[in-house]
Amino acid sequence: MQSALEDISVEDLVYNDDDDFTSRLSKKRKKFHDPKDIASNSRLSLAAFLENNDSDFPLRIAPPRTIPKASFTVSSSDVLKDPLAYAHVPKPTDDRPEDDDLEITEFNQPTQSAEKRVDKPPSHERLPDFPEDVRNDFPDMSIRERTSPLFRKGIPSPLPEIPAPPTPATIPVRSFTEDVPNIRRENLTNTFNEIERIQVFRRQPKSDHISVDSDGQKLYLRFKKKNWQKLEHASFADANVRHTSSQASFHAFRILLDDVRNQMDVDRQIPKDYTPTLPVNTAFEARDVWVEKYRPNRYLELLSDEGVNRALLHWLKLWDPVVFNREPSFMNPYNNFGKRKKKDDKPQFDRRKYGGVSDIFFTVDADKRPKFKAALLCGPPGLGKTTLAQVIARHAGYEPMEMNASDDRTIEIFRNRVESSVMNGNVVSMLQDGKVNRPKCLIIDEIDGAPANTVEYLVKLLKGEARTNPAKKKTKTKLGLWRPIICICNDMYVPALKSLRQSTMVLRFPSIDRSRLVSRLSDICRGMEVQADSSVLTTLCEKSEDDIRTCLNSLQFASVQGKRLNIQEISKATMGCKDNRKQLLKVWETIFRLPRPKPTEFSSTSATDRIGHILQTVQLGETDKIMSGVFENFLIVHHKDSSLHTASECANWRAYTDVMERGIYEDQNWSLLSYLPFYAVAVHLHLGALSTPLFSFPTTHFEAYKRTSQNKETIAALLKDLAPSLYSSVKRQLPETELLPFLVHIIQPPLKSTSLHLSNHERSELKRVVDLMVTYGLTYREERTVTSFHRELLDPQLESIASFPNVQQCPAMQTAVRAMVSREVQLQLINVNARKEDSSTEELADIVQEPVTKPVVKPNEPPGGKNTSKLQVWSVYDYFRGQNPSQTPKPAAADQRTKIWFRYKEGYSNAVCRDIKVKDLM
Amino acid sequence: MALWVDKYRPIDSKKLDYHREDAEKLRGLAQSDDFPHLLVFGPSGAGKQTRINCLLADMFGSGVQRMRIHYITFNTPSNKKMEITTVASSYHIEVNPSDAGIYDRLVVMEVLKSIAAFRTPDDTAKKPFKVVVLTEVDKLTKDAQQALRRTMEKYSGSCRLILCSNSVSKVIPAIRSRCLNIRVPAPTEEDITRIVMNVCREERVTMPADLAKKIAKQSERNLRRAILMAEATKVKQYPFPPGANPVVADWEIYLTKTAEVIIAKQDAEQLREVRNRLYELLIHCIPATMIMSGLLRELLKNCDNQLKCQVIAAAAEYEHRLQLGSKAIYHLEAFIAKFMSLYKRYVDNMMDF
Repeated sequence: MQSALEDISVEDLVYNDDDDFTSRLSKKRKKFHDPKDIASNSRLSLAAFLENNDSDFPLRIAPPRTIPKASFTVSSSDVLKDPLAYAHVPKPTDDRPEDDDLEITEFNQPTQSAEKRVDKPPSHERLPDFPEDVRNDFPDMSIRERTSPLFRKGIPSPLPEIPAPPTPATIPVRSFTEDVPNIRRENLTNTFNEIERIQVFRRQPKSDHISVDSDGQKLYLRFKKKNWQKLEHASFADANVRHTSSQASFHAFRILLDDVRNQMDVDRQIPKDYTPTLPVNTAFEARDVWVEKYRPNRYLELLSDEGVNRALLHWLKLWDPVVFNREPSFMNPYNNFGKRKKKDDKPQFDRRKYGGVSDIFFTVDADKRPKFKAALLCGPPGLGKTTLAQVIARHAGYEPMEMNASDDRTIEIFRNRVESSVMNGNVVSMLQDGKVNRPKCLIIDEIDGAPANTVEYLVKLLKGEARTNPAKKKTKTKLGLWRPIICICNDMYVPALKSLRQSTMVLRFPSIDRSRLVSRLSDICRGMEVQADSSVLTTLCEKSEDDIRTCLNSLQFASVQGKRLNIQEISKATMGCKDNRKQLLKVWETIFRLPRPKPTEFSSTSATDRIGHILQTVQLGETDKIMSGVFENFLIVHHKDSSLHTASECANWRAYTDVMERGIYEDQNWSLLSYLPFYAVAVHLHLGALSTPLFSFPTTHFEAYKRTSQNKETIAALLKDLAPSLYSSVKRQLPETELLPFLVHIIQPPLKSTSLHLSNHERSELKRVVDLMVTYGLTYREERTVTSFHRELLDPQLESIASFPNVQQCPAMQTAVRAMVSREVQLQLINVNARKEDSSTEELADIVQEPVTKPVVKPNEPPGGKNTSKLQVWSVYDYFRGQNPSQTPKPAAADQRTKIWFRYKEGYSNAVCRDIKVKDLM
Repeated sequence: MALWVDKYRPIDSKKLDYHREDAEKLRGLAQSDDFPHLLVFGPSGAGKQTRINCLLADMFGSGVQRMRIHYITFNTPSNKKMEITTVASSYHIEVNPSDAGIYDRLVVMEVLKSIAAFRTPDDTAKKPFKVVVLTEVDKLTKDAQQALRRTMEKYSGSCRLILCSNSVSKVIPAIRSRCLNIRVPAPTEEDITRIVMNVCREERVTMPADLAKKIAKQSERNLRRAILMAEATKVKQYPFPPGANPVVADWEIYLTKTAEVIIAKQDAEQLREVRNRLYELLIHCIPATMIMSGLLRELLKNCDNQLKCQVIAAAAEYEHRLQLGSKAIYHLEAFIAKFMSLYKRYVDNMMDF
């Protein structure tokens, strides 16, 4: 007999939840059923379960410990939603207890029969989804859509409305079968195998059916006629199964259930990683903690953001060529999992699908390893980062090896562990004689708390620079990192992680989709018999800011009291309330955004509540940064009144808090600190709007501060080199406002660029400028910009103090003029220095090699300066010609002390070329 | 070679150009055997320091002009080494304690103590004490001023203090009462015009009288600024064309333009631009009070009497807060926002009529 769903694989059910598939499925159904009769959404019928070992749907049955009450759950989604999908098996004649509690919870496991499973070594049991899953691990569709019906299907539903049937002590079913030898079990099973579909209805179907009585509730199981005849033919000894209207005491099913129970016993003997659709970790000792109990074990159960999941898995798959010696299932890294058929179609990388991760992270290097050899997951606690890493590593065929803060993470231990796990470059064959030697995937949890040198080592490792432990030199395999590393942290901006951030694929965890979290929580609530409707759960999620762990812990806490959870309690209670700091941008948003009016009666939109909320938000954070952020951004937001009254008020508040801040920080009056947040409140009340613009991080103030101190340093530098008499006068002269603005003008007279054509007047000006600059210790500093644009800047940079943007009183001197002045100044300085050195000697013989184009500053026109009269400059010519008028004839003894100054200027070609004999110089 | 300001600064009290009577009295004071602590105050550019120097020269002779730079190091309570620069001759020392920021109290005590420890080495000195010139006393913290009032008395045997400050309002009364207060008012515009003309004559620069008047007016009775301005104007264009205007400092032009920006439009965006301009001014080390008063002066040109009252009241309030607070930008912006709000409402009301 053909099974209705035989040719639809499990993977189809799990992954291909698209319209196409649904229509295919419904077509198939139509072949077998009257569409009126079947529940529209029902995917799998009872027959699917009853088709035992050879079918595509192995029966998986949860141990009875979860549900104390008797329940027989049929795993068809519609029937399940119906609270009456609950069949009580009446007592048989021999007064056997009937309370075999079964929940059929999962059927999307790959083909594995119970019998086969027994034969296999237990180790294999740990990886039921391997490697079959690997083929299909990149679902294209939204996981949420896909998984939710399955989850619902898998939920055991104890129905409180229906009182538990009288339950005598459980007697093992095995004894039941032994005691009823007259029922030929095999026959019956076979018969049921042939029954292609049994459906459960609340109303009486038109076609053949049997009715099942359960505590006054009547259910109808429909059969095809021919099957029904077969069923009858199977001749139960005391089965009270009647055609159409008769009440059926459902012995045939009992026997089947017994069969199932047997299998369950077998399952129980095998210690295995038991994974029903609703993740229940029976293996974990602390199963009383819900967080551990319902930790997801499979990719599809993950609650974290799909894009992030996908990006991480995709990245992990890139390791396949090195680790497993096989191509990942997607040939092209950008191609969406082979979905694209056309070869010439350029693959497009959609960042949104990968949690906003750039595609450079998915490139591979020369060794076919991914370019970024580690992934860094970061996000606030309770979003499932660790779970994600574990699940994905297992999913991709690795053995996760976790290191967290509880381990000793000194560099030696770390190095040893890393070398033993991830630096082995051998390709692992996955199946070696049935035993799987899985490659390791190192998961470094809580890396933000690791010692800095450990992180450094890791970074070196990632860059391929790390040395192995010198003790172990025998490593003949390829050095370097050959296994993926996943790092997890809460705060990625910890200074120690700075270098790590650059060499890893950084995945930021967005917050969890609240509706998914709520639906998961409600599933768990149902499983744990906690009564909570979705509005309660939503409130809980809101309070905990979608922290899964907090939600579960709070739920468990609440469940201990055993009461029905109601919204008032949840919203009032302090549980689940996180006291963590919000991110700055969030805080600013809170301040500038009006709370959205909520439909519930507990909305807090009254002014008092708003004030309280803002105060709370601001007080928890870094007040300083929040305030400066508000100040910097409050002019960006929309101002409702045209007369700027609100802006004025806000600015007024800021000025007021500044006065208070001074009281706090200078007079140490810390009691004023609690008044600062009211600035944010005032801004919120004045400027709160429903929509907020993009806020920028406050940098202006700091930049201004930096530039100000730079300018102050410039002034200090100017003062430092001044003569004592000048020092006090400059100091008094308020250099910023009075001296410098004019000084900059005074030292920049309008001069022509070529000094050869300077008029007498201009020459005297030049002389004056040079003297002034020497007096004030100013020079021009040559600066070449990137574009090889040559500039001469004043040094110290007085212009940055004295000049303002867009205020051009007099055009600054041209570069050539400045260069000329600069040369003159240097020359003057050399002269002055030389004179200082030789000040006591009667002799002054400075020979300066200077370019021909240099204007010869005649010493015969000192314009009035007292000290300048002493300064005399001789040109080379004058000296060599012996024409220096002021020079006295040299005594021979002085020749020994003659100093020759030579200034070499690179690239300057018009140097003096003249034939000189040595004796001329002597 | 020096600037005109330094070159033509009188070093003899007989050559002082204005406030002759006060100068005579000071000279008399210097000639007497002893003299009290002095508190010289007056607006910037009025010649306080010049007068102090003249007084010192009268007392000690030309030896005070042989100055050298002294670095005084001291340890702060937090064990930080601080160094401040002082200028000293063998008769006096000139300190600006506010260089040390919040540690100015230590500077005051340290300097006075060290001076008191060493009596004047020169027995032939005319006076049996040294003089400590403290500049920018109005910038001293309250702590430092409190420290000063006791030390002034304690060490009065070996040293005299000359305090120099722009305003006495920030000097605590205890100090004011311990000093002989000497007010040096700003020179009149006529004085300035005369002095500028004199300087130009010395420099053999022909200065038109109208330009000198313009300079005097533009300088706001600040002689230093006037002379600097005259020199800058001369450098920029000489010989002066008829109707030449004096060179004005860049920041003043920028300030005027900022006032124009404020008047042009009043909304949040404009306020943001003004904020950037204010930051620019502060970056250039322009004191916030000067920005505030400069802006107020420009803004008032656009107000009628009724509005003027409100604006001045607001300015006074925010200027006061500015003194109380620590970060100038907030107060400046609050003032601008207030002005914009007032002005906008005023203009809107005018439109309605």
